Amino acid sequence: MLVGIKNVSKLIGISIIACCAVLVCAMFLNFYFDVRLIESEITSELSMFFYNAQVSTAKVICLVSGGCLLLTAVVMLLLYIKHYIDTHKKELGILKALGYSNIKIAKSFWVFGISTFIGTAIGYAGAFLIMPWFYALQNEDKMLPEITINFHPSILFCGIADCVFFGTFGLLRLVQIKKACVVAFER
Amino acid sequence: MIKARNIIKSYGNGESRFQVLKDISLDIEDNDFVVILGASGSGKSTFLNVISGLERPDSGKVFYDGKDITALSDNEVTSFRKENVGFIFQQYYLLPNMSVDKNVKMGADLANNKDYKTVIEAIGLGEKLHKYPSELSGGEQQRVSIARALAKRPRVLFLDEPTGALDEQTGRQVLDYICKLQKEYDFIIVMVTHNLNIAEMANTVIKMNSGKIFEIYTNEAQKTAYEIGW
Repeated sequence: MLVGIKNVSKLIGISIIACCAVLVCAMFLNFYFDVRLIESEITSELSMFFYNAQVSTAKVICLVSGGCLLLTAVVMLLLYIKHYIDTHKKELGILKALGYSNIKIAKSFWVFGISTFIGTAIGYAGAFLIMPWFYALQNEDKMLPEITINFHPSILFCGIADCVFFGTFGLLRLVQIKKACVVAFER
Repeated sequence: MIKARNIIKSYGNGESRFQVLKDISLDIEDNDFVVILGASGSGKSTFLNVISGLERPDSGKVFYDGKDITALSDNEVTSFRKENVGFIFQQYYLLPNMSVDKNVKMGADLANNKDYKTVIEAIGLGEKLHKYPSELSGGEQQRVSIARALAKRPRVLFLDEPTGALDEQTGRQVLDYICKLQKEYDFIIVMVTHNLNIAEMANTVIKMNSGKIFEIYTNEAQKTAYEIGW
């Protein structure tokens, strides 16, 4: 309805940020879970120090870098939606005056959810593509037993929840639409 | 029937607060053609916004067939506007990124009206379905605005200076269309204007000044759009 092809560049931006956030989080979170699985196989003290360092690094990077990127994606999405509402206040006011409800208007912003989903999907797939190289790099000196790449459904679930969260948050942000109604019209 | 009772509306805060509507009460009958006449700043557009549900009064009530719309929530008022009210504004307010067809469809979808193209034909824009507002003249844009409002099949059509941005010939055409369509679709017209000549087309004329109604009269005979002065 209101969000169209012209906004592709901004939607691509949202996808890229979401992709980067999910790629970092998925990669380090998966590594964290997989490294934890080999704890029982570690025999030497030196290996245990190295193991603890790897676990801590994975945790910190996932939380800090991944968290920052996710936060950036959320802020960027919200700011863009807000900017879009402010720029298109008149059109939104017209729709409200015609009788379109907030939810009906907000539905037209589904593309934001799609762009977030695409970014999340690419980030998640990209993380698994990079993982063999990443795991090999992390254990280059073979201080630890071989770390196998496993699939953890909880990470996928978090990725999906992340899309739903972004989409819903965006829709909730559109509650501001109701204020656009009469204010938009010239006097 | 529309009833407005003791409507008061102000804008601004503190010292800059200004009372635009000062205790207005009014009745509008079914199928009536009402013109609200007044100079700029008399409060007529604000009154139109209040009785149409676009704005809430500071105090007072507006009833549609006994139903108080001022007591409704935001969602309920939006739903009420969707089902009962059509708007035509001076500046048309078409959606610029949508064609004529899509603009009218935006109104038709609210009433689940699949035959909206007959309304576009009725306003003489059947050949321009795929044109965008920027490709249309002012009169054509206003006609699209009329079609969008009527595609909703409203019970009441509110018009705020619909010919204000149009030349004489186009203005007469637009008014003529509106009157013809009222006879065909049977709705109440409430039109705001500062043009005394347009008031000669109405059944009921309400004169406003400084936020108050100071005269209400009925025309014994209504003139057509081509008989009035300009």
